[in-house]
This record gives sequence, C-alpha cells and structure tokens, in this order.
Amino acid sequence: MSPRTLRFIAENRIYIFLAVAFVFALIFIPDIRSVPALKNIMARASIEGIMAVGMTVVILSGQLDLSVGSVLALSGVVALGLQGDIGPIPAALVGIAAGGLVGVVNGALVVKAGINSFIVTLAAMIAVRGVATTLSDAAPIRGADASFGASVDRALFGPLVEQLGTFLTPRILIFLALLFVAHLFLLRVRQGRNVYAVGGNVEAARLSGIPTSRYTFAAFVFCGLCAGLAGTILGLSLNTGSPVVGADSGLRVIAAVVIGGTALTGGSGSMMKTLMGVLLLALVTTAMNQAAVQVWVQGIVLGTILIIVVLIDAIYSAWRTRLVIAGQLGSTRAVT
Amino acid sequence: MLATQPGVESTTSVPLTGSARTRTLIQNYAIFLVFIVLLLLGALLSDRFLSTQNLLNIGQSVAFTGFAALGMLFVTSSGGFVDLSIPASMAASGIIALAVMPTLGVLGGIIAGVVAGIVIGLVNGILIGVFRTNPVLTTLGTNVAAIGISLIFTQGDIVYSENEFFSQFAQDRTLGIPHTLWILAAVAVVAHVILSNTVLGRWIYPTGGNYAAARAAGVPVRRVMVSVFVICAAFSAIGGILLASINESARSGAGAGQEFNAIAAVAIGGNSIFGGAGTVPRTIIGVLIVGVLNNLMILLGIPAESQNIVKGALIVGAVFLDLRLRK
Repeated sequence: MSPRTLRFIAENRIYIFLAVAFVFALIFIPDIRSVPALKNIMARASIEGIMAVGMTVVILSGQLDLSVGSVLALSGVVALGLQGDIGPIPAALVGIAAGGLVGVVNGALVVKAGINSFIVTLAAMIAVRGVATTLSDAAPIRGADASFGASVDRALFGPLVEQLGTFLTPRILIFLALLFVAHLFLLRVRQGRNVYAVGGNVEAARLSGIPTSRYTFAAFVFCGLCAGLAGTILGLSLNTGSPVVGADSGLRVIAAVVIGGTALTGGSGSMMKTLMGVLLLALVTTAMNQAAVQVWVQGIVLGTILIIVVLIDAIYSAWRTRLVIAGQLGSTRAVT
Repeated sequence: MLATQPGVESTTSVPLTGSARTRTLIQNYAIFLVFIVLLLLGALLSDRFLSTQNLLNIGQSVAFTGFAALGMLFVTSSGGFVDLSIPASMAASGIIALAVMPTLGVLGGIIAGVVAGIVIGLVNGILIGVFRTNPVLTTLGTNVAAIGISLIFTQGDIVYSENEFFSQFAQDRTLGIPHTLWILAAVAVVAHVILSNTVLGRWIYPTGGNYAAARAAGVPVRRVMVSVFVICAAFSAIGGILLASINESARSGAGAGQEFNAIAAVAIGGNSIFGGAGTVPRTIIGVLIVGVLNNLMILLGIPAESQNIVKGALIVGAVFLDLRLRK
C-alpha cells in the first residue's frame, strides 16, 4: 500500500471500527436491528453526544475538561429541584446556565490565572460534585412536572412514518441539530477555523492576531453549556436529578472524542468523527447490555478498544513523522 | 534544566542576601507553613485535635491516598503526566491476593497481588514509554480493562478474606501505630531514596524536565518511563492489599477515585504535574493537608457533602499560589 492509502485508512479508522462493530452486533445480537434497540443506542448516544460536542471544541483548542460528569449531575439537580418554584422551562434554562457558569469559572482559571486545564477541571470535577450533593442533600430529587420531563423522549410528530417517527424525539433531535451546527461552525465560519489554529499552535495563532485567550475561554463556556444541556435533558427524561450520576462520564466522553479521531494534542479532528466515536461507544455498550454481557467483560472490551485505538494513533503518528521528514508525504494535517 | 535538583533547594546557586533570601525561603517552604498553620488552627478549635488518637485517625484516613500519591509522584516527575489506572492496581491487587491466599498462603497472596499491580504498570509503561501513546487515554483503558480481567478470577463477586492473620494485620499496631502507617512510612522512605540517591532518580527529573534533551544526553528515557509506571502500580498495589486487609475483603471499586486524590495531593504539595521536579516530603505534606483539612471540617461540623467544595478550591488555590511564588 502506498503511504497515501495508509494515511487515508489511519485517519478514517473510526469508520472501519464502526462498520466492524455493527457487523459483529448484527451477527451475534440479531435484536440489535429492532427499533427499540436502535432507539436505545440513539438515546444513549444523545446524552454522551451533547457532552462530546462541547468536549470536541475544548480538545480541538488544545485543552481538556474533566468536570463535565459533575456538571451533568449539577444541572439535573438544579433543573429538577427548581421545577416546583419557577416552573419547568425556566428551571431547565437555569440548569443549562449552571453548566455555563462552571465553564466560565473553568475558563477564567485557565486563561486568567494560567493554571493548567487538567488541574482546574479536576478541581472543578470534585467541587461541582460537592455542590450538586450539597444542593440535593445527597439524595435524588424528583421533578414536580413528570409529563414535562417525559416530553424529551416523546415522538414529536407521532409515528409519521411508522419506524422513523419514533426517532424524532426532542432529545435525539437536539443532539443532532447541535452537532450539525457545531460542525458547520467549525468548518465554514472564520471563528470556527480559528479554533483549529489555537489548538494547533497557540503561539502561531497569537502572532497572527487571533485573541487566543478569548477562544480558550469560550471553549470552556461552550463545553459547560453543553454538559449543562445534557444533564438537564437526562434529568428530565428520568424525572430525577441525581447527585451521583455521571461519575465516569467525563472520561467516557473524552474517550469517545479521541476514539472518533480528534487528537488530544489539539488542532486536529472534527465533529463528524466525534459523532462516529459516540455512536461506536453507544453501539458497543447497548449491544453488550442487550446480550447480557457481564459488566466486567464490558470493561475489558471497552478498555481494549481504547488501548488499540491509542496504540494505532501512536504508531501512525511516529510513522507519519518519519515519512514527512523523508519527504514522501505532505505535511498537511487533516482537519476534516 | 538537566542539572535541576529535585524540589526545595533548587531555586538558585547564587548566594542570596536579606530579603531575597527570605523570599526564597518562603517560596520553598510556603506549603509547610500552610500545614503548620492548619495544625495550629486545629489545636485552637478543639483540644482533642492534637491527641494521638485523632492524629492517627487522620493518618489512617489518608493512608491509601498516600500510597497512590507516592506512586503518582514518580509518574508526574518523569513527565509521564498521570496514571489513571491506580484504581485498577489497587482493586486487582486486593482481589488477586485474596483469591489465591487460600492456596498459596498469606505471603504467596501478597506477592501475587503485587505482581498483578506490576503487570498493569508494565503494560502502561511499555505502551507509553516505548510506543509513546497518550498517558491519559492509555491508563484510562488499562484501568477499565484490568479491573475487568481481575474480576474474571472471582466472577464479579466480592472476595472475602478467610485468613485470620491477614484480616488483622493492617489494623494491628506496633508501638501504638497501625501497621498501615508503618508500611506507608517505609514506602515513603524507599521512594525518597530512589528519587534522591539512585541513578534512576537522577534520570527521572531530566526526563520530565526536557524529554528530547534527556534522550540526546543519553538518558534511557524508555526504561525510565517503564520504571515509573511499574513503581506507581507497585505502590498502589501495596496500598490495595492493605486496604483488602482492613476491609477483610476486596472488590472492584476499592480504589475508585484514588487516582484523582493522588493527583490532588501531588499538586497541593507544590510538585510539578508536568515533570522535572517533585519530592517525597512535599507529596506527604500534600496528602496530610487533605487529611487534616477533612478532619478540621468534621470538627467544625461542615457536612460531608460540602467538603468536596473546599477540596476543589484547595487544589486550585495551592497550584495558583505555587505559580505565583515561583514567578
């Protein structure tokens, strides 16, 4: 194979993974084709996916946000806890805003105080979990308006076309719309392109006149808002705001983004890759649940997938550097 | 950067006078001052605070974070960044130790547990050191995978200790101090000796300070990387086995959250998370500050749920202070 073919395969590995996983699922778990199973995959993918959209922007700009799992809990607690006092829609908006507020604090500490984002968001992960637990008195909060909560999973247009209609729920549509808008923004809008510049080489971006601090700050706020949105939707769909939800979803979302093919070093990746990474994780998890695979075996499968992907990336990156130095391959980075 | 000595005395070799010297002193010992102030505060708030029993309680409550933090110190100092697989090393070592103890005996079980940890460390080290994979994702992957693999042996159930001696060992005392703390002290001494008096120690700091320069200067950076992840996993495994002894059982969630506690302690102590510097005394102080603060908040009647808020603020505050003082 020519270097170019190899590069093409390596950079689009997620599509191969997804295809293989789907074929495996079809062979071993015939139920996976059923509408409830597919809807299950999409519902799972929506929550993690909304968080992953924000995380992709943070990772593209060269940072990391560990706090999204705790924000997921905080927003759910706030959005359901306030329902009785201010009504379900304002409460939902406050829940989303709570996530944005965490993003503001994260962004300010990274940009203004100059503390590394891993440390800042690790501290936020711990502290925000504490806020969520304090606000809820360490117990799940039940929403006052169960029918409003259930509406996030109600088919919007009824069973229009018998099968497709069940997928047109607010939860899934919000996820796809958010992802699509973010995708267009990153590819077609100047500010979106600048995100890649900031993440690729922050010094070069600054010297070419991009206000890099503002971009970094905005990335954290956006990521916080996305996690807030995900937490609010999750809380509404269960009609419960739980302070313990999402303990490992921060790391799971980061894994989904990177499995999709967005580089943790920043500046390279895309929303579509993230979509594929999220779908892969949701497909594998749902398929294994469907087949009643024990939890620890699921851990082995997911951990192994992650290690294989990371290993492929490392070997590919070393190989590409060698070929670029030898002049056999252009040095352009793929950003789409 | 290559000649940078670990930690406290490293700021400068030029003789300083007057206020400059005071400044350097404050820079280097600020975190120790913070610790003393916390102790004084505790003594003022409660006359039971400085009692031997309370101090031992504090030690016991953070001992397992201590093992994890000492291991994490090796990873951060060498530029390996972080090891998120500490919970796996802790859980797997306890599970394997208890699972084989009925057949291999107490010593056999302990050795098997530590070996389980070392295997996890080797996998991490080879992937990260030799193949140069990303440490965050690699150790995240080995964490979930290794917990799963160790549970195959036990089919997912909790493993109980059937050995009288082992169930008592960690909490039994010699000279009034629980064995857990004796072993933690021994591990801390070993860690300190490795970092300050061995060739490996002398290689770890330049590897973390400037990887490319260290490699060019002939430091075997790959071997250093493998070593630090093995050491981190081995320390965590020792902690995990003691935890199994205290609980008289082992389960997959035993070490959950300890990876983040360890990073927090290393950072609070004022060690660099990005490599090139870091000492055992600072790490121990970081661990103790978390323990003393938790204890103080309990004495003050602050609800357990809210303590995490203070802990988060403390991490950011300590790192911010450290950044400011070093400027």
